[in-house]
Amino acid sequence: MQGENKIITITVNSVRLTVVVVVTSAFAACGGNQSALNAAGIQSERLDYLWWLFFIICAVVYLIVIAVLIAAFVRTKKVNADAEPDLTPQPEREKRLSNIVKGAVAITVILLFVLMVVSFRTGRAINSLSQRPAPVSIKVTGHQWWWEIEYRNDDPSKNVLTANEIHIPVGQLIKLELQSNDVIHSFWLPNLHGKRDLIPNYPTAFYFEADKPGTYWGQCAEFCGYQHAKMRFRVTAESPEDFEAWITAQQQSSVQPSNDLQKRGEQIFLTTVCAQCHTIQGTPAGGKVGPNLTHIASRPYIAAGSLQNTRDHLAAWVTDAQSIKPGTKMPMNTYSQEDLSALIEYIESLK
Amino acid sequence: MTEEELNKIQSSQITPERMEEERRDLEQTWSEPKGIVGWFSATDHKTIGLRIIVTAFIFFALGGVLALFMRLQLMNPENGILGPDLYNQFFTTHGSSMMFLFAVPVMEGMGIYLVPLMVGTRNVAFPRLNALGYYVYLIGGILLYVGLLLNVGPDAGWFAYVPLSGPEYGIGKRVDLWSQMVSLTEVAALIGAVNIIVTVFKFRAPGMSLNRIPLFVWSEVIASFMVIFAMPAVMISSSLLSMDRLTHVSTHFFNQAEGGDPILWQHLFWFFGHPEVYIIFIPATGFVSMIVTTFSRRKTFGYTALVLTMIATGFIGFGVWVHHMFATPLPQLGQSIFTASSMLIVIPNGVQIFCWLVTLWSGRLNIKAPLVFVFGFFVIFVLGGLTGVMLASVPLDLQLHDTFFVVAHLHYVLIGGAVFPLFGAIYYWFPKWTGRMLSEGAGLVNFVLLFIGFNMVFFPMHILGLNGMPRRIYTYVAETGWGDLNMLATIGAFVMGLAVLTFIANVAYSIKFGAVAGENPWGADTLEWSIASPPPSYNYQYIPVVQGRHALWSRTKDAPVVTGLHVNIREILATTIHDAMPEHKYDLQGPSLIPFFVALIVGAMFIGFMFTPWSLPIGMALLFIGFFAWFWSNSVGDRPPFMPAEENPTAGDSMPNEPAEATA
Amino acid sequence: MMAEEMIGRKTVDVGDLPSTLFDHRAPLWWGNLWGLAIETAVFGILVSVYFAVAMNLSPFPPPKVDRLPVLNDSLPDLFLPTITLVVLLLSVIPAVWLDVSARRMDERAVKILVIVTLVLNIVLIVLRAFEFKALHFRWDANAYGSITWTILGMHMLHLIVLAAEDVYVTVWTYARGLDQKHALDITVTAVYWYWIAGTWVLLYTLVYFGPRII
Repeated sequence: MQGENKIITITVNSVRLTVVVVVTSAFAACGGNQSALNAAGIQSERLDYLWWLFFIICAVVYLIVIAVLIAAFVRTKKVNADAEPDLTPQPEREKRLSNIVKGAVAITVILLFVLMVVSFRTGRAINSLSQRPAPVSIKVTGHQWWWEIEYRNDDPSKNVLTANEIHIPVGQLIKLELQSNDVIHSFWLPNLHGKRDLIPNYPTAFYFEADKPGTYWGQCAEFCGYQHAKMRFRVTAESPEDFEAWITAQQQSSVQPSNDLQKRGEQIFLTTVCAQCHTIQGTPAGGKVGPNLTHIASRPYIAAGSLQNTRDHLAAWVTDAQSIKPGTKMPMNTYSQEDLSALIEYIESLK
Repeated sequence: MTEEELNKIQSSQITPERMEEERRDLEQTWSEPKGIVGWFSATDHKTIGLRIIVTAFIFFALGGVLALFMRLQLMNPENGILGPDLYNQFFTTHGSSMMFLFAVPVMEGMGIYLVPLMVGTRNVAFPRLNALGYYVYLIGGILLYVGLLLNVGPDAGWFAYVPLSGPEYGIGKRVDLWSQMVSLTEVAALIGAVNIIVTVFKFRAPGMSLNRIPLFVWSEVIASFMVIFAMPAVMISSSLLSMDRLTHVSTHFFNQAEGGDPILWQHLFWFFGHPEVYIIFIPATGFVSMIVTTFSRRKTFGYTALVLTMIATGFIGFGVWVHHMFATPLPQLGQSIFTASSMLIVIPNGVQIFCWLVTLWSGRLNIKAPLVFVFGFFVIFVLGGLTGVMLASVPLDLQLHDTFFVVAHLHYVLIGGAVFPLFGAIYYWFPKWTGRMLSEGAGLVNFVLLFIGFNMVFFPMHILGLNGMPRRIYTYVAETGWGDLNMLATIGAFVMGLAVLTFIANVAYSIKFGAVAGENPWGADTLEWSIASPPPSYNYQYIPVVQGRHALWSRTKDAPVVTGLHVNIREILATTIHDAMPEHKYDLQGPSLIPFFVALIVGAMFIGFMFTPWSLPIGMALLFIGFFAWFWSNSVGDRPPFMPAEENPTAGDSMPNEPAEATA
Repeated sequence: MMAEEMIGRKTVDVGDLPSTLFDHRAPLWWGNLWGLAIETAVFGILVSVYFAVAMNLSPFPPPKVDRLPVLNDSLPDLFLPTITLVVLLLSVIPAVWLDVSARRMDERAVKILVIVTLVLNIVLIVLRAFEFKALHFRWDANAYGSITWTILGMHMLHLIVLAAEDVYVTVWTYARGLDQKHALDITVTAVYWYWIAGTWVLLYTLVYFGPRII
């Protein structure tokens, strides 16, 4: 019996230690701007409530089961392998235990039913936003490994094409239309909504709304190849006035080069490979393979949210994108020092 | 044999000398051949079963090493240990290795070893087919790792979604290699499943009626049925993918431009993929039932309920697959049905848990290593099951799907629900396999390291998922704040590695120096504990007659045994399906090299199919030759009654006046 | 079991039991049954793929546009496929006869019938080879071509495996005569034959009448 008590003690203590580790880690990181637990809109708020309801019910059930388990281990008589096995336990006791099991099953069924109903109602509530007319419609096309963002306007000359960056007005309904250009991606903005897969030739849409200003990050959530890890996007929720200002700025044609260095940079852009893949509205560059760079300097991040938009980073990206995102479709380019600084100067002028 | 005939049982006239003579004859008849040729000719289910288990463990260790590298890469943001290409190959190979090469085979291997013993017979129904299954599995596994070593490892995930895995985006032969590995391992799994089902249907010892079948045997039968109906889906879908990808075949199953559909792939894959995890889990519940019973020293509470819940799980398991596809643009109402079914499957699971808890609660516990691992099973699996309930909710799943929350969930249910019971089962049956006990002290260290390490790795992943970390990413930026929990997880991974090393050390030491086990060190109830450890090649000299659900616990002193089976040929007893009444005798073939050569042909055919469709007709022509030789070597056609009776002594011949000498 | 424990112990003597019984009493029959269950599941999956393709293509089947004039009505032909179906169904008769003869251990009848069924089997394979043309599409033309060829091809694979079994049984019966165990083998092969015929009734209806009904 001594040995068995030791085993029980060690086992229970390892459980205790694990619980400590678990609980401390639980509080290590809670919330943030890429988190499902930090709701910034009514839908993710509903999901938050749903999450906590599920969590609490499941946690209580779990604790009860574990308590029974530990009690069974602790309070039963301890014997050896030669103890006579009991083939005829007391019928009344067996009956009682049987009723307890039946009761436990009944409670399980009821709890599951409750969770199912609440889940279904939450889903319906989240989707109900689609009943209202959506003032802002954004088209998202997934590429390997960046997000093409398009704001359509009735006047086609006012269409806005950008990449990996979304602005939305707070308090207004947004309609997101999603499709993929190549493989399956998944658009996931945890602070605001659940994810939706982007499947080629399966255009889909969902509606969401931000209730307070802020910057939120999202990331591709369906494995899509080499750089699935670095396919991020940034969503800025701002006041309707700020949003209007941003959209208007984006609708403008590109900034013209204002000094010789920038002119030289523009020339380099147009005459080397850049224009084959990238578009800068207002110049002959009309490539559709890579992101639209008309207002690239207004975006705080490049390379699908994996690098801050600084001159050094941009220069590194232009010359050796493979080191930053191995497998990316952006080729490596060789420029002389002067050409490179002219090019960067020009690109950074495209606000 | 009828009821009356069965009751006309005589008393044995066997003398000790006669018995010893028969035993020697049996040993000679059933012995496994030696040497290298002998190794490749083996057909003893115990040999094959142990081979499967050891091979599966090697793939488990290899998959674990891959995971250690993945954890090293993820422990810091923007880490440089594995670039994206290697990382993608590693996580694909890790998942494929664990699911196809470890989890299903090890459960089948345990079944191949234990089921014939537990039902009271001498081998599986089709021993050479059994051997073929093992070699085909081995070839499939080697294929995967050779591919990884040659930088042709699959890199589209263990689930290989199209279009990423299709001909346009999945360049090279990587996905083709994955596809053929899947086909090879699925053929092996199907072979094992058919063998287990027919063995349990037809070869149970007399008296082992359906309601007396041990719970582990039930679990293996149910899992085998699931294999039969689920594996074809993945074999077909991976073959369709191969055909889409092969240059001269170029079918269009998943090509949207010509009427194909990428969502079709997901349906086909998950129609297999979800039952797959129950194929892994249900035998593990079989382990738990056996261990809980033996170490609670009482009859299992709720035997019938436990059987019915395993069957229910088996059925419902086929009706939940769309819960892997909630994020696709499928209609909402359809998705909600799968929420209901995914929650429904919790109920039979819950019944199992409650029955086991009651058995423990109302028993007297012998706390040894097997039971300690089962304790770990409860703590970890139930948590995983509950996160599964969360994932069943469509709106919740849309936040949690494809994040590290799911990684946490799947490891809690698979490691908690299958690996912990498996370790318990190994500590439990190792004495029977080897004749020696594993060290209890090392077992406890093994458990503690595994338990703590596991929770360190996977609990933080729940939080990482909720905080936005998707799956299958080779790195992340520091601003996400995911670094600390990832570091904790990596440390835990190495603790788990230590646990596995402890286990390996325990096995290596105990095989030579462990305490001698004897026949029944645990005082257990099933038939295998009534014979020597390790069992003789023929298992039972006299097939026992079973008198109750817990065979050894309800065995009376004068329990009858079966006599009359030939000792100079490999002969076993076939009984009726429902009541296990003796029905006819069944002769098995001896060792043979043919299964090995047929496996080589099958392997070559599938590997060739990576490159050309002609591999199929050529392979089939060679297989015809192979199987022709296989069937032709069935000399059973010449067996009794064609062989004279003197050359075929039967066990327990009641001829007390005859001189006791055996003829050749 | 210790030697002393055996003295005087009650025994159940199975020495007089037969070695081979037929049908559900035979392990081989069960092995065959579960093998057929697997293959039925395979066809089930292929049927569902067929429906998935049918949902994605409109019109179904698609028009054949790789030659002029364009074939707008590309429904599969009925003539040759129906002949194949009829031959297959009629071939069940000698198969049943063979089955019954084997059970009766009628070696002479068996020796004739194995040749008959083998020849019929080969005829069916040849008919099936020509049947692919009735589909109007190659396997690589579109998803409809892919799935119909796969269904026909998979079933043809069974015809080929059946023929291989026929060859084996024929060779054995002529070389070594008919014994109990191989009589069982013949009856199990006959079950395979019935399954092949039965599944083809369903698959034929799907492939040749499905698009006419959908």
